[in-house]
Amino acid sequence: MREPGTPTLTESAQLKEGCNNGNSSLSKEQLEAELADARLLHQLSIELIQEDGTAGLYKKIVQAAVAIMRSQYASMQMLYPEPGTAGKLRLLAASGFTPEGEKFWEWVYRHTGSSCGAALRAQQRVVVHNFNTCEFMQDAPTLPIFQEAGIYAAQSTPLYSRNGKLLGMISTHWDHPHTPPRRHLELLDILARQAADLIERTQTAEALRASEQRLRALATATNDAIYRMSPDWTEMYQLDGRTFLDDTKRPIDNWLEKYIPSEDQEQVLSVIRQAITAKTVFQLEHRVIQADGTIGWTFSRAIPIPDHSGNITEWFGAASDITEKKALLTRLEGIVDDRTRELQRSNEDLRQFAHVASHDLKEPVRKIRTFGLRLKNEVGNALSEEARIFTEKILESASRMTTMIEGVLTYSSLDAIDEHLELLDLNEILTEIHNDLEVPIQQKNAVIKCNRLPTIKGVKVLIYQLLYNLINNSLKFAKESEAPRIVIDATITSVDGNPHTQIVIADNGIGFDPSCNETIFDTFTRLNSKTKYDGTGLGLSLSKKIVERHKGAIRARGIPDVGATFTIKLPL
Amino acid sequence: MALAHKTFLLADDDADDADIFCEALSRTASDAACQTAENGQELFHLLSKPGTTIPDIIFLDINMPIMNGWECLRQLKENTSYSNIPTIMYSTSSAKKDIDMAYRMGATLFLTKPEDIRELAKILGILASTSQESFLSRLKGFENIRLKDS
Repeated sequence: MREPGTPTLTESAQLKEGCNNGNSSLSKEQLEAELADARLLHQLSIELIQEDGTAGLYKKIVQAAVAIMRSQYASMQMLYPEPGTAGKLRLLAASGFTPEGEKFWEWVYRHTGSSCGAALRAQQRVVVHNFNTCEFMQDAPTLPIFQEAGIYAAQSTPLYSRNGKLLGMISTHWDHPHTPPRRHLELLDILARQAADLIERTQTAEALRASEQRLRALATATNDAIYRMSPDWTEMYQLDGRTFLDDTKRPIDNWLEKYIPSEDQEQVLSVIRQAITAKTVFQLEHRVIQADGTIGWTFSRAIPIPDHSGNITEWFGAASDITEKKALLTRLEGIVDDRTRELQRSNEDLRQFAHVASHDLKEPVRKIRTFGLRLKNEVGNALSEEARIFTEKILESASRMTTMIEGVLTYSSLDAIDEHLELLDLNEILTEIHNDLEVPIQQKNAVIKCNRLPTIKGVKVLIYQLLYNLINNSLKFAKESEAPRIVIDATITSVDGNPHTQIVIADNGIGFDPSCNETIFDTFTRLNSKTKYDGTGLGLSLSKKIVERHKGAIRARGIPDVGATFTIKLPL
Repeated sequence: MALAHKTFLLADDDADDADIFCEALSRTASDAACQTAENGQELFHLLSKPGTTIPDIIFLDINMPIMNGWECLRQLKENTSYSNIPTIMYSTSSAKKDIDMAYRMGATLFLTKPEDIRELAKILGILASTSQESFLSRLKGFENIRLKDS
């Protein structure tokens, strides 16, 4: 904390304190003069406490400064802080200056050649005994102005707040070279204390007024209903309902009945009780009786207003009209619910349809096979060669259709499978597949090279089918000229920060065009003639669906005549 | 050694399938009797008719009008006069859900209708010539016989 004026800086090194300095024996005149000064300060204190008309008080302070300091001029300035600089001083009141002089000295900066500019630089009192001999004034463009005004000496005393913040400056000026005595400066310090308090009080009041003005503007600008409640909410002091709610102009105690539908009152009260206990913001979305008597919705928020000791004096709140928003939301939720139900229904219908259709299709196809086989086996000898070929074709087509229907059945039941995931050792599954495919592997002289595979969480029948389909494809789509070679490799990778296993199955088969990398997974996609390569056209779409059901991803890459590579990512 | 004169009773609304069934049975066991009903309800009519021979084995199609195979199986198992008769579900289906359901409801076997009448004849031949205890083990190798938990 810094006491006003205590350290004194003089720009002139030869400065001597006043001639009365150190003289203990005071004359009668001097005693009377000091008594007058003390009375002046006392009178001023009383007026400051009464605090009416700040501008008048500023004037009185500068006049008191003139009297105490026996000067011809005095001025008082307020500091306007500027970020990064010392700020600038603005004249609040002056005594003895001409109107032009007051205008000229309205703003003072730290570079201004004057006692107050110097005090702003030094942040402490500056006394100038004679402007004409003062070092820092020699090159100052303001020197002639002082000379012209007949001002020879000056002192500027910074005004500090009680917590050490610079607020302004009080200066006195003489029409002759002068060194103010210490006694005068001590009295000035008392005056400076009063001046600082006055500026601080003015600033606080100004800030409060501005804040109140903003608040009032806000309350006017908003469409919200504004209300004030007693500390325990038993009384509503006031409610400005705008067009939304009915106004309450005088305190009432039946506000609950007036504004809240009876079935919601208990809920509202319960949240209010919580806010009162916790002394925190009350905030609730609730139904409300609108000005036109209909039920609407409001988002209401009230803050407790505490006094100096922290007791709640009242609650100040705003209630916004969310009736339309709420209605829209309810309508939207209804629509979303309906759509979801429709979607679920149509999904289920589709699944049922696929299941039933394929089940019903199986019967006639089985009969085609049954009677076709009887034709072939029981009356085959009586048929012409051509008729036997036709019968064979009917049987083959029916057989293919059976396989396809089985595929559709499996595909449509995949969504419905509700088996639990279990830990699967992929090495074991691969051994099983190897055994099941033993015949084609031997026939085609295939080599399957498999590195160590991890254990994953999955549905066994599905993972088996996935790997079976892919390996079987590699065997099926092998080149005629070359023995199939299938390499299976697994690495650990990360997908969105979650550990996954990446399984790559690569072969040296006939491959496919890279343009089919995506479409190869579509249902009933066939890239090769069915006479040469049998199959349902469902194998890879099933595989994809299995991978997706396990929250994984599958990718295909083909190069014609070089081979195909399938990459599967499954969560570990 | 074949046991004499077994009676097979089939409930199936599909006349072709019923014909094929009887034909296959006559090929493999000419002494066996083949009775048919168009649905579950008719099967019970037949059983309750005076003078009707109690069948040695009952075959039930699943999808039938009026009374389907499941309802028929349930009622057979609830009736002490018939609950001991070996009952085989005889359907186009090979869905795991249907197979599980059949065994859960007390069916003796689940037979997916074979495409080839010769395959059916072989199966019926075994059923006609062996006791319930031994036909189960003799039927294990057949693709169309869906055993429990397979």
